[in-house]
Amino acid sequence: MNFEIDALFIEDAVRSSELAQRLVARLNSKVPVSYVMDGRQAARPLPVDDAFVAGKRRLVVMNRRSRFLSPCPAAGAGLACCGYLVLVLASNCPMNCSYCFLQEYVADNPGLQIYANYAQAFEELERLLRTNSARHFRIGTGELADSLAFDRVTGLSVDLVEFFRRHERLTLELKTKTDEIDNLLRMDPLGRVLVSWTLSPSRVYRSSEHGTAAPQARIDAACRVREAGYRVGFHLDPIIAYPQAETEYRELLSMLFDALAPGEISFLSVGGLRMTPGLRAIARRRFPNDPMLVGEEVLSPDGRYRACYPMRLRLYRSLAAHIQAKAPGLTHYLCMETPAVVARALGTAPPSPAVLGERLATA
Amino acid sequence: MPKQVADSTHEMAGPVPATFQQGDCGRAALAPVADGCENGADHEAAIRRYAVQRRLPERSVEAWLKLGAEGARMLLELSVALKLRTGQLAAVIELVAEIALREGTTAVSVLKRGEITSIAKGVGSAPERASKLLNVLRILRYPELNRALAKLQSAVEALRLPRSVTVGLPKDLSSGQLSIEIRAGSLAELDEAVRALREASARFSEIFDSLEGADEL
Ligand code: SF4
Repeated sequence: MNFEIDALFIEDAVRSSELAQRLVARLNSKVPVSYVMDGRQAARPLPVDDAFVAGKRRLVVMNRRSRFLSPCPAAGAGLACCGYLVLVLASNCPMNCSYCFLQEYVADNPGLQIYANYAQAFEELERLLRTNSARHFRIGTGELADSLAFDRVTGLSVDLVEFFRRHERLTLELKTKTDEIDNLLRMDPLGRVLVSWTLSPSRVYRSSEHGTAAPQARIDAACRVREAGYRVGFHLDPIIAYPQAETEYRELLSMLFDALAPGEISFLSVGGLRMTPGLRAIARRRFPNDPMLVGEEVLSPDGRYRACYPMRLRLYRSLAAHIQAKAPGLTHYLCMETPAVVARALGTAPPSPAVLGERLATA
Repeated sequence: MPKQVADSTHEMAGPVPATFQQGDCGRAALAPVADGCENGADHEAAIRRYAVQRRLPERSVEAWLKLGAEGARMLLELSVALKLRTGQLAAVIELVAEIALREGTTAVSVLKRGEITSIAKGVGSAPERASKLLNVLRILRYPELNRALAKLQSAVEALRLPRSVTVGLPKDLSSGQLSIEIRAGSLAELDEAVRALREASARFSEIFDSLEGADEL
């Protein structure tokens, strides 16, 4: 997948960094390169109609000023949590999903930032291991960005795999909607790297996931990395409760289980579409013709629009039953729902974050 | 019967159905249509004039014009006929657009539905019919939610609880929690309410199942 870039900005402080040099060498030579004092300024929105999309085409290499490692936002928000830790190595993504929360989250700084001082992230991880001597952690880089979208030019996965393969109690999760796996295929992760794909039925892919790899291409890529020694996981997130959803998500799961035996899949997460009122307004303005954005969502007690409760629960239960029937034993959990909803949907209370986190990290 | 506007021959001769022409406000806006000038620019001008009279926000006007010339014209006629207030008009525009998008159809085919034309041509005061229109559009826009809501409401009624007990469904069925309110002025009244609730407990479990999307009550 080749994502087009209009301009590359490099913060003066990281001019000689390896990452900046790699990008200059690997990006198309027609992409103009500018050196700036403060990358944050280059990441600000341009005064154009769709500043968010314009930001997706402006790559900014800079230092990250805050911590790289943080708990997943579900932790502390009263939601069932899987103990996932987020490593922010980049912000924004070249793809353009209509439901993407980044539309609101990075609206004020949509430039595609990649942090050159990521060696600090490794230090934070080592500190985490030193202060938690027994636990196993699952660390993901796909929270504010797609983990692999620019891997062809950044080569970040090479450094990441190299680091994680040396740390037995850490599992790296690279989360993507691309099939950018060439770098991964050249390395042996020693079982410590998990690559996960978000999957959606074709109808959702066509209407809402612009610029991403097709669902079948994602599954094919998963099979290939699996053969190369990576663990694989899948996220059915967001699940959108459109009229044909129940059938089409089941078909999607069947397509997945045709390609990979359940025992070859580390886990499957499921999460319903949720949008803050602000995100919903932005998404509808940017994608006025996407039927997936006009579902039967209502304002939920947590202040987010979600499919109304009966529809949501029915969909969760139907998918859980399907997974149980087709892939008994496959670890499956609900994401971004309260423990009460998880218990009602799956019939058992969610495990504690530490327990589920450990299970997912080692699955 | 709705008041028929038969006092203006040129309006009667135009494409706007007579039954739609009850209102005074908006007649001026409809003039180009009534005069037989049906090109898109005239429709747009008519809608814009009407929108100005109604102080309709620009965002709603844009959404209205995106319904296509025929759909936008039909909605103008409907608004004039039902004397939609500004907020109602904005809501109707949004609902019609969203229903069309959800169903992969056009605003025209939404507005030609029997449920809607019968309101446009039906009896009752304009405000009554306006509120009926909004209800029908909301049902079309949120069909599953409304189906579930109707089922739950009748299940709650079937509990036949004393008047001192009120069972509240979650707003817009956004959660799985019922609220139960008991009004009691004495211990005896409280006991009676609690006993009635206990007796109804098996049927409550069916209500919870339904709230969780089980198909049958
Ligand atoms: S791939 Fe993920 S991060 Fe990128 S636009 Fe889509 S939802 Fe957002």
